Amino acid sequence: MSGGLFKQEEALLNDAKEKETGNSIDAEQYMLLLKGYEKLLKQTRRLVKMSDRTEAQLNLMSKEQVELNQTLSGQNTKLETLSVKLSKYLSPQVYESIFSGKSEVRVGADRKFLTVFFSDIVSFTEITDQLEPEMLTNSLNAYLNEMAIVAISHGATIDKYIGDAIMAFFGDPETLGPQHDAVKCVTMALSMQEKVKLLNYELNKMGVTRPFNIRCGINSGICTVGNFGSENRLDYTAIGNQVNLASRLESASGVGEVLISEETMLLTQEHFDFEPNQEIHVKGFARPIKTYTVTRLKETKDLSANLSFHSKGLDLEIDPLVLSEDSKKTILELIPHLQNIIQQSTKN
Amino acid sequence: MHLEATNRTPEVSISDSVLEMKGECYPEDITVFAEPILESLAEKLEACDSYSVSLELRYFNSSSAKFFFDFFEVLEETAAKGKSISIEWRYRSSDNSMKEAGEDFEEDMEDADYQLVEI
Repeated sequence: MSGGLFKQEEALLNDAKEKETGNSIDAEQYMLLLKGYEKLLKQTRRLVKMSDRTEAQLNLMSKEQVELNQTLSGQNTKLETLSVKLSKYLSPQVYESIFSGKSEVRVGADRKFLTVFFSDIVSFTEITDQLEPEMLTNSLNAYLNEMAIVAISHGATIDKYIGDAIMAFFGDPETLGPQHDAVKCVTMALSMQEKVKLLNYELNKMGVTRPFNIRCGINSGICTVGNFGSENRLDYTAIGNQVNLASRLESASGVGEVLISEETMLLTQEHFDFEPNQEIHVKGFARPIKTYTVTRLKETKDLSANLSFHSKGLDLEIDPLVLSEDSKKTILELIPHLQNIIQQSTKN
Repeated sequence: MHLEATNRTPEVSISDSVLEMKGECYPEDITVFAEPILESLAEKLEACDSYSVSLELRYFNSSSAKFFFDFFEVLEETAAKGKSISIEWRYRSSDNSMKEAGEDFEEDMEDADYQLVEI
């Protein structure tokens, strides 16, 4: 709105119209009009010039904006590529936690109730002596890859790989509660034992004649978890006596077994059968530690229990407690399809 | 008279001997913004022997440009009557657009003392 902007000019024009008689206008009025017209013309010229200048500037800014957007887009692509690469060095939960901004990337830790898992390959040093470096690399990577898939599918936070050993935990950065975390951890350990059996079949085909056998140790308790190190190099990990105990349980575990502490047993006893094992002495614990070997998943019709089956040609993991509505719908749709697959394979 | 700056209008301060304006100028209705200023300026110019104006603008639109033509015309006419009028058009060294706008306004100034000041 700029109605009053041309008040002077409009007044001049109206005055001239009023004094105009027929086809004539007096000289004084003519001179006023002429002067007014000259002024308007001058202003119009300058306004057009200013307007053109502004338009040119806007065009330039627009071009700069396009270039800036292209640069930003390129940088975003680089950042995405980098973050995908970086994600392979982190547990998905840790990656998500950092990149969503839920966790601060700084030195600091919290006390949290975790269920901590350790595993390693029995007599791995002897196995390595018998394998060529390339074969060793391929077989170890195949093993760690399969174990990581199982761990991630159960929601574990993979803390680190130490050679052939794996340290993982449940309870941070995400938790479903101490009991459910512990159940998931034991389920994961049993799945890993099953997966190794299948993997041995594949490794044998690759030329690894001596099968891999793993032992697993699990303990639940309050740990210190967070970022340790310096401002320049952080390590997200869990530490404390309860972590050491999980490691000791792993060392004390039998071949192909999952050895757990009493704390973990109490948290998971509704879901698994156990056999009491020998007590062990662990530095930092005044009393001997009761241990239990997990024998199997209890046969139960409890709908909250996990379904976990792994054998040749079958990989099944269903966790009803975290199942989304979409996943439930997909399972129902798959049932008739699965029946067809079974019927076809039986005919063949 | 003092007007605080808004998103669309500059800060304006008018005293008996000085008028200062600083900011961006693209009001929704230029008349509402301009008329009180032109009226106040006319009063001050009438009452004074000398008057100083300092303008430091970052952007103004076409309607505001028309207001500035009228604004400078009032100042130049007052100077032509024998009063001492000094005007500073202040612009940032990187802002060619405001520098050129200042040069455009300068073309009409014969009796007023008009200075372009790089800041």
